[in-house]
Order: sequence, then C-alpha cells, then structure tokens
Amino acid sequence: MNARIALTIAVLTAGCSDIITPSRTPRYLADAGGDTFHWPADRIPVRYFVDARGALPRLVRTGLSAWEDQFLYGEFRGEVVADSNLADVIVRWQDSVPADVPPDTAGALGACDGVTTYVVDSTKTMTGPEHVSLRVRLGYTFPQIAACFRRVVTHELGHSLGILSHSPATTDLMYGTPAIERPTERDRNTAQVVYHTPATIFPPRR
Amino acid sequence: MSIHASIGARYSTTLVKDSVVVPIELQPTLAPVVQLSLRDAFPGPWTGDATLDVSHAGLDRRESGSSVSAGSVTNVALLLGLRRRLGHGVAAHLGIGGLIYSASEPGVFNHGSGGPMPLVSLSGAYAPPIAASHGLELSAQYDLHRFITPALRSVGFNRARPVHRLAIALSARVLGR
Repeated sequence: MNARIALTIAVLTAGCSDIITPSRTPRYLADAGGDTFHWPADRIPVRYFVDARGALPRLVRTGLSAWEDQFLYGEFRGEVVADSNLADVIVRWQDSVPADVPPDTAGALGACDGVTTYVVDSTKTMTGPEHVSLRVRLGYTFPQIAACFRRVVTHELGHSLGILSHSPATTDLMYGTPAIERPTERDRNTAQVVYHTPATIFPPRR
Repeated sequence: MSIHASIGARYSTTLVKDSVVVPIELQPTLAPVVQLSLRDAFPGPWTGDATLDVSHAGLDRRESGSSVSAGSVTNVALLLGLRRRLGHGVAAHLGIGGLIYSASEPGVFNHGSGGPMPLVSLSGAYAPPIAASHGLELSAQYDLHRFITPALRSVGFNRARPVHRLAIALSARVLGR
C-alpha cells in the first residue's frame, strides 16, 4: 500500500516544474504618448454613472461584464452608481437618445461613435471623472444604430479602464471602428498587461 | 458505526503562479474547516469512513510585494478513507476523493471550476486517554490535489498546479460509539 500511496503522490505532483505561464501575446500598445493608466486596486470597483435613458444602462452593464471577464485575478470590476458626484466615470449620450430597438444583424459600421476623455493636472492626476460621450450619426436606421452602440459602448469602456489607444488590428474590439461586440484575445492580453504595468497617470482623488 | 464532527484551520499553498509583467500568485488565506465523518469499524485495527469536508477561504492576489483580495472560495470535498489504530491513542488515515471549488468572484473561475478535482489525503490523529470516552481527537491532515480551471486553460496554462493543504482539527464523536 505504501508504494501505491507514493505512486499516487508522485503522479499528482509530477510535472510541477513544467507549468508554462501564458505569454500574453499577441497584444498591442495601450499607452497614450508613453503614459499608462489603470484603476488601482483600492479604487475597485470603479464607479460608473450612466445616463438612464434608452438602452445605455443595459449596454454599460453588458460592456462592464465583458471586460470583467477578461481578468483572472479581480484586477478590474465596475459598478453602476446612481449619483454622478460619486462617479469615477460618467457615461452619457452626447445629443439625441437612440430608440431601444433590436439590433440590425447585417451590421453597419459608423452608425454611431463615442469618445472617452479625461483631464490631468501637472502631476498627471485626473482632475475629475472620465467622461464617455456617445453620439448617433445621421443616415442610419435605428437597428443599425443599436448594433453600433453594442460595439462602441464596450469599446469606450475599454478606454475608460485603461486601454488608452486603439488596436491596429481591424478584428479587435479596440480597433478604431470596432466590428465586434466583445474583446478578442489580443484585447484581453492587452488589458491584463495594462493592469500589471505601473501607471503613470493617476485617478482623480475622492 | 459512529458520526464524528471536526473543526479546525487549514493552510493552502498557491493555486496559481502567473507572470504578467510581474510575478503574480493567487493563494487562499488561512481557512476555517468543518468536517463530518461517518465511521464504521472493520475487524482488527481498521476503520472505514466517509468524510464531508468544507472550508471557506479568502483569495489573495500577491504581486510586487502587495496583497489584494480577489474574492473568496469555498471548498467542498468528499473523501472515502481507511483508518488504522497504531496504539497509544494514535491513528493514521488515508483518504481519496474529490474536491470542488465554488468562488465568490469569477476571475480564474470565470468558466466554472472544471468539475471535481481528485484529492488524496493523509492524516494522523491523537486521542488523549482522558478524552477517549467522548471520541475527542486532535488531528493533522495533509492533502493534495491539482488545480486548474477552464479560464486558466483558456489563457494558455498547460498543466494543473499541485496544491498542498495542511489542516489542524479537533474532532469529537457526536453519535454512535
């Protein structure tokens, strides 16, 4: 029996030195002019205030969930808060609110756009919350616009969490004009690397 | 046949060692453990048992000299074992079974735990003569399983990591003799 026990333990422990740590490639650069940002551990969950009109609350929750799924160790989590004064990120429609309709499955790029902005002071500390603005573009149907925002909201949330630049690959969510709704492997690797790289831009003080 | 209950504390080695720019470790904190065992005496010094083992630990992410909570995890194990009295109140135990993880946060459990993980357990127990009538025992338990989850596989981990756990527990007979 002793020999069997030893064999069992040997089998269970065998190869412990052969575990390969994933390389996190492929990925792309996520800095802005050499500066990097991520929300520090003591600011997790990041607080998002969301314009309650239309589909935006649902789109933001879906987008946050998509990004949270990319992390293994709880590096990023977001929560929606009701008070904009408590927010780290404010997500709003820039002008008109699109109808909340089922998305067009054929797809149409460019039916909407978004921008994520922040202001830093001389110490590279944000002076206030990040702002995500979402805009409807003219000449598209509501279903086309709905499909566009499913991609663009999650894309902008990627900027808000720390991917400050665009992917050069057209197939990535973080490409300038995203054609998909969820982060790719490259997006995931990039986000994970961002959250373990020392930041040079700091979040606003609470 | 008798039923025994145990309470104690458990230490676990690292579940995941990773490197993303810097080395990262994911390790359970010291955890309370509760066990319920059904024992049946065989002829001679042997006893067979079935044990339900439950422990709940925080998960710490360690990197760059700091430690951050990454949620918590509950372990439930079911073990079938053989126990042998060695004399002078000392007994040795060997168990095999399965262990499942249930976590409070997705993270490495984002796609589930991957099902039961095989577990082998070795332990030693001491029953002081003065407490023998209540079946009181102090035990040191070691067990081993290999840890990997579907989420870890999906990012490129190729093998499960051996996880060693050590528990100190105090048990008492609650039913039977």
